[in-house]
Amino acid sequence: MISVWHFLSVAAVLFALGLIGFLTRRNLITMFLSAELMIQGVVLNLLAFARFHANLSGQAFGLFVIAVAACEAGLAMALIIAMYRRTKSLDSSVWQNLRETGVPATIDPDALIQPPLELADDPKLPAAGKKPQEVAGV
Amino acid sequence: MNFILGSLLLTVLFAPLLAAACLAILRPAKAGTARTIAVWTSAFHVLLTVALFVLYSGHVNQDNSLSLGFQPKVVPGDPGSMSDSDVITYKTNWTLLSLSPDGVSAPTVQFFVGLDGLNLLLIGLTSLMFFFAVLVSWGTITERAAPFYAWLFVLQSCVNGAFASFDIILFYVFFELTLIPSFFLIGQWGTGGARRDAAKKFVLYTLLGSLLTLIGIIGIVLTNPIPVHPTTNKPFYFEPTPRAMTTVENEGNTYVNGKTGPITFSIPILMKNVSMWDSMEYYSVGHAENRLARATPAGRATAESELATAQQNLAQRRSMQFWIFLALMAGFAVKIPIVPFHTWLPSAYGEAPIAVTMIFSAILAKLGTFGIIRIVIPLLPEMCVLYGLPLFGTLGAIGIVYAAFCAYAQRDLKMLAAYSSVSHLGFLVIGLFSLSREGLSGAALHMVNHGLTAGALFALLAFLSRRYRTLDATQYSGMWAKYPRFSFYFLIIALASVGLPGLCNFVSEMLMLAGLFDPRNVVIFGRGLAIVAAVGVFLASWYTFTMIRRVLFGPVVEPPALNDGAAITGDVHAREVIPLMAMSALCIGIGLFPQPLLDVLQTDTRRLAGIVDRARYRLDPQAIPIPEPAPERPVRRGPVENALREEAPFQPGGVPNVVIPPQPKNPLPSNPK
Amino acid sequence: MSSTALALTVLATLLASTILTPLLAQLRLSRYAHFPAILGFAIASVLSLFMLRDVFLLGPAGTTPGLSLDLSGTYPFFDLNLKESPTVWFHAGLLKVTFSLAIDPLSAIMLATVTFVATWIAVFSSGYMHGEDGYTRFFTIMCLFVFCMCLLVLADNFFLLLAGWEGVGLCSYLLVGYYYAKPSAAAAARKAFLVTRLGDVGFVLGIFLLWSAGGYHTDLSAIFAHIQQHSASHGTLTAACLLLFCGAVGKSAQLPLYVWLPDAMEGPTPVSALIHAATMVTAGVYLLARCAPLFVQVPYVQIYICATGGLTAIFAAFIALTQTDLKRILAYSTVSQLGYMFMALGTVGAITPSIAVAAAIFHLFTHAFFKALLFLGSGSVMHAMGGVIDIRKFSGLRKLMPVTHITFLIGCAALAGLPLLSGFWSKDQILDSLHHAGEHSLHYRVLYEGVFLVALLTAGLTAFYTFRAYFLTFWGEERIPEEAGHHAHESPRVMRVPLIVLAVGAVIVGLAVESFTRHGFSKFLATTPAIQMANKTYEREHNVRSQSSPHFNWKVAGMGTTAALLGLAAAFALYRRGEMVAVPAILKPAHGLSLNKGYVDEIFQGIIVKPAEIAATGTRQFDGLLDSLARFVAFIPRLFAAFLRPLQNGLVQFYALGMVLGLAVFAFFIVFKVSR
Repeated sequence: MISVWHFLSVAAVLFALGLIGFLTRRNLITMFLSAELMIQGVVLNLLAFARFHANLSGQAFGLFVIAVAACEAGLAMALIIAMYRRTKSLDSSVWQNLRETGVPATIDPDALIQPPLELADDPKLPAAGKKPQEVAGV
Repeated sequence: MNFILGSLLLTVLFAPLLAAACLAILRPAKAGTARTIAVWTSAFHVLLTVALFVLYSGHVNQDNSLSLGFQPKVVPGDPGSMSDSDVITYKTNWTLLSLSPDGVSAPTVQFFVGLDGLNLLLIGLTSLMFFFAVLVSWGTITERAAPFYAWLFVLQSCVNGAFASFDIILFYVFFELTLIPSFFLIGQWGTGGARRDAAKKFVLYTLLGSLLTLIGIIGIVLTNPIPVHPTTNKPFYFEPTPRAMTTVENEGNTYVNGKTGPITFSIPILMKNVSMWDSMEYYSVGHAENRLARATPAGRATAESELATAQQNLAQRRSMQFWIFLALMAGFAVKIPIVPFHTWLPSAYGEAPIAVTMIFSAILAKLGTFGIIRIVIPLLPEMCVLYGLPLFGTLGAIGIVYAAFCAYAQRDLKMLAAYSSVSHLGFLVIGLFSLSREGLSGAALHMVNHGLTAGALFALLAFLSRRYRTLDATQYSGMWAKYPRFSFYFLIIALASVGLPGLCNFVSEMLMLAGLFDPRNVVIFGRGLAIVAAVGVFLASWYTFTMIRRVLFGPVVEPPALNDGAAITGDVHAREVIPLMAMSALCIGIGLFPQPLLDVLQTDTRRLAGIVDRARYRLDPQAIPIPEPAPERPVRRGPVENALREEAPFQPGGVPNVVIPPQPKNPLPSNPK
Repeated sequence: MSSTALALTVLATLLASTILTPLLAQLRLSRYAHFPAILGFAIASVLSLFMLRDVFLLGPAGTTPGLSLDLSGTYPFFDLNLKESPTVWFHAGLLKVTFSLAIDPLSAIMLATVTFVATWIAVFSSGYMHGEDGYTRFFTIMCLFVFCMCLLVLADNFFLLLAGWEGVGLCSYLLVGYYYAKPSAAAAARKAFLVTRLGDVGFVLGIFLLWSAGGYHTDLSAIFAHIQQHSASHGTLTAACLLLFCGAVGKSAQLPLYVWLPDAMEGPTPVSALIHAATMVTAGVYLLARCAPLFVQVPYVQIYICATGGLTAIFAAFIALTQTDLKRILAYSTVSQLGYMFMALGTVGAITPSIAVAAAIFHLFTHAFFKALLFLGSGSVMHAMGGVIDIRKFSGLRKLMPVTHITFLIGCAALAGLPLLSGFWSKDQILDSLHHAGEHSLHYRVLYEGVFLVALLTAGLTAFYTFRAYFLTFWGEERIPEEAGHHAHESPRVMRVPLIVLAVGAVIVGLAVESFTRHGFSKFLATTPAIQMANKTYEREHNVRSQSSPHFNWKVAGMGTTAALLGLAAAFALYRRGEMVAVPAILKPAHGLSLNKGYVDEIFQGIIVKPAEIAATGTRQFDGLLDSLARFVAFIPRLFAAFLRPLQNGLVQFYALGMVLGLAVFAFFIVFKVSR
């Protein structure tokens, strides 16, 4: 019998994966995907509890979240593309201008290598499990 | 009648806000249009204030009751004046915010504004000074004039609100609100390069002080709830003096101490509560001593522990009040400012446009001294007696001399005027803490007089700065030959500010000195500080007349002429003459006929002095040297009669509603507790 | 009219003149600005003579009636009516200040003197100041001055007296600084105002001490009566009297605060004559005379006053010996003569107070005539010499200016105290008082005898420097400075007449009021209530009957006259050729000391003015330090912030990590603490 615990476990796993992804990956698109993953984990929770309590409020709420997530995805992708066009990079650490004045910029000692220019018109995700350098063929 | 006066008061308080809103909404692009609106509205406001004075004059001298709380004569929303009988009940029905759903006993912040002797003159002064400030700013504010005047009017409303408030929270809100317009007025329209920094420094410094004041206010409110009857829960104001207890016994009743009831924010009620709790703690010790003296060997242990508890309670209350006193004074000391909390002042006064500086020294500084006379003295009378002169009186005296020396060494005339203002305010603080009728009357009058002279001094400097855009004293000489009319006004104002007889400051300074000679003050802090204050008057003439010699006398030397079209040339213009002539005339008028103003003040100063006299008695029942009264007055003894000794002729008959505390060690008939 | 009404009319007339004069300027009638002044002074003078007669015949007046203005009523909002008690100036608590006047012989004599001298000086000024810039200003301030002086003299209330006192000080300031474009005049004006105000600090404190010791009265008569009845503590009374004396020292230019008076000669000469010789500077003497009932109770303050007077008299005379500025010589002579008056006042209590006070006031009275005369004479000389006043630059003017010469000679003779002139009688009374005090004082005989000798010596010096100035100016061959040009002639009639009037006064007043009337002046003055009160106290404390009038002592008069004649002879021997003489080497140091005015100005500069300026600069520096302290306090939060700022590094993922960690703590708390 699949109990509510099973659902919750899956949701927790999803959330944890999303969280880890969000914290560790610097590619803006990947970060966004990770965030989506977290949201889905939470939605799964809602659905599971809706089923558990046998009412529909959780379901309704889940639908709302999905709708909002869709809007958010559109917005976020637009923003990411706009940002990419400015810096030709998907690296989130490029955007650290909002730090306190006087605090030195954080520089990655193992810096990313800029992809070749012909790739740079539109953002592209690297193939899973490969470093951007390898994608760029460097 | 009361209704009309109440409405007029509200109009006077908030008409400037309306003018500000008009200016902000219309946003006239031309500076001239904004100025015209500002001049006419503020002139109209002066007329309104005059009407208020005329209508109020019927209330002067009519209040002879000796209530322990202030009794504002004109209160909008007074339930009494709304009814057919049209009586004054000294309270309001207008609640702003109720802190608990239970409407009956809830502490409520009320929109409790009113007029009494203490604030009437200051509201008048405010109205006049803002009108003059608008005139003084004539040639100097050319950019974004509309918002400038709008902020100025907002400031006026806030100041008026603070002066008129009788709710402690309302007072604090208005007191703090003045910071916002001040911040913009300094920061945006300042004349110096460091105006932003000056504005920031001013706001942060004052805010730090006034947040401590807020803590003090909370402390006052929490430690002085309304005393209620233990069984009926009705307000219960009964001081357990031995004589009162005897009466209770004789009528076959038993006495029980009141218990703490709901808290209140109304200053008049708080004043009553303070007297009530102070004397309750005090007499508890006396009664416990008496019980111990009459205790049987068996009951001795209980009586001893009761005495210990009573003594501990009293000591606790006083130590608590001491910290509250310090916290309350923090904000006011910064606002006045008392040396050494004045360091925001040079930069703020120096950077602000001169019209704003004029308002600062004439009006805003008075918020601090007004806070002392409205809140600190009536709500912490015992602490004022114990620490007022020794602590803040000494600081004031140091400030007089210190600021006078600083003023002498200044080369910038504006700075000189700023420091001279600090020096005079030190005198004012000493006068306030002399805590006698003469001193309090003198200090209350000096608030007005200092406002006039300090304001006028800045108006005079505006005259120079409008012509030469500099106030460096070393660049000026021989202005008498160049501008004889200007020099005439300059001399009058300077003479008024050094306290020459026949001009306004003389009267108030003499009254404050008389207050310091009150024999009930400790000699070193009474007469000692009086000596410093008198020397301060000399120092004032020292730096003032040195400055006059440098600027007015000698061969004509003037700063390089300006080539911008805005500069004005020639002697005093028609527009400039209005403030100068009006302020000079007022200085002379108040100097020659100060009595009407003192009559306005007398009810409240008498009340304050009475409260303080009771506190003096509680602190030291034996050692009050009672001044020998003038022989033409009826001689009556005892601290409260002492407070009333002057008023015997005005007494309408009947018993004053304060209880006369006799010696607490008198044996009591029995233990009612 | 009653004497009180007369006094009030005098004040009203003078006030009206003060207001009228500037109005003339508004009407472009500046040329006639002297009319209201002269007319007002003349009317006041006549009225005060009437008042003097009333007081003489009817005795002192009672309480002053007043006006009450009731503002508290309903329509028409005020109500003005006459009432018995005086008008209140201000009243709060126990401090009640009223417009009460003292109409008694003392004030009547003072009033008559002031208005009479002022009238003739105003007449003189209308010629002397003719064509000056600020003609209107001059007469306006003169009117204000005479008003304030009369207020001072008539006031029976300490604060009213203080008002007059400060008022005359203000007028003195404005008139000394009359030539405002002249830096030396500006400096002198400031100095005069500040130095007298330094004395006033003490005066004000003294008033308050008396107020609190004297039953919270402010009326002088009431305070005296209260202290008489209740005998205030000795310490308080001593302090109060010393403080009052402090005020008098400032105003009447005694050691050490006399330094302003010589500099005050920067003002126009009529001002020097009226304010700095005849009237204002005697205010301190008047104050002490009026407060005799207090001073009689504190003999050790009295000896201090006497010694101050003596020291001032001889020191100022010593400085006057070598000065070359005619007006300055007269100024030092004024200081010296004021010292004489204080010497006399210092014997109140040692001898019958009424006699001591009469001696001082009598000298004040005669001095007003002959010193005003001398100043006007020097003004006349200055007018003719084109503003030059240095006696080395001119000589032999007696042919050129006969009237000035004769009147000046009379003034000099009166000042020197040559027999039968007014100065002789009054100086003799002072010497007699001192002599008497030396014989009869209870504790301080030696001191009084010493002061008597000082006074004698001063009398000799006075005759010497006075006649030195006279010989140098009017004798010898005729020399006229270049600045005079063709102006060097006798002054116009409007200036000559006052000289003649005052000269006649200087000759006869002594004989007329004191000698021929058998001490009528002293007896009349002794009927002043305050002085009567002092007499009573004296009788009670010394257990003797007070003398009714001074007696003429041939021995003392002879000694005084001898001293004066010796001084005169010395001056004649040295200066009859109208030229300066070389100083013998043995006297060089003394001469230098005198010429440099005893270096007192330099000493003051060194020990008071400079240190105060240094202190001011130091305070200003310290204020900067205090500001840095405040800034440092404001800096402390930033110091803490320095540790936290790196956390704000702008990396999104770093912030997210923070959020996660916070969430983790929160979740941990919920799971492991709350749920248990």
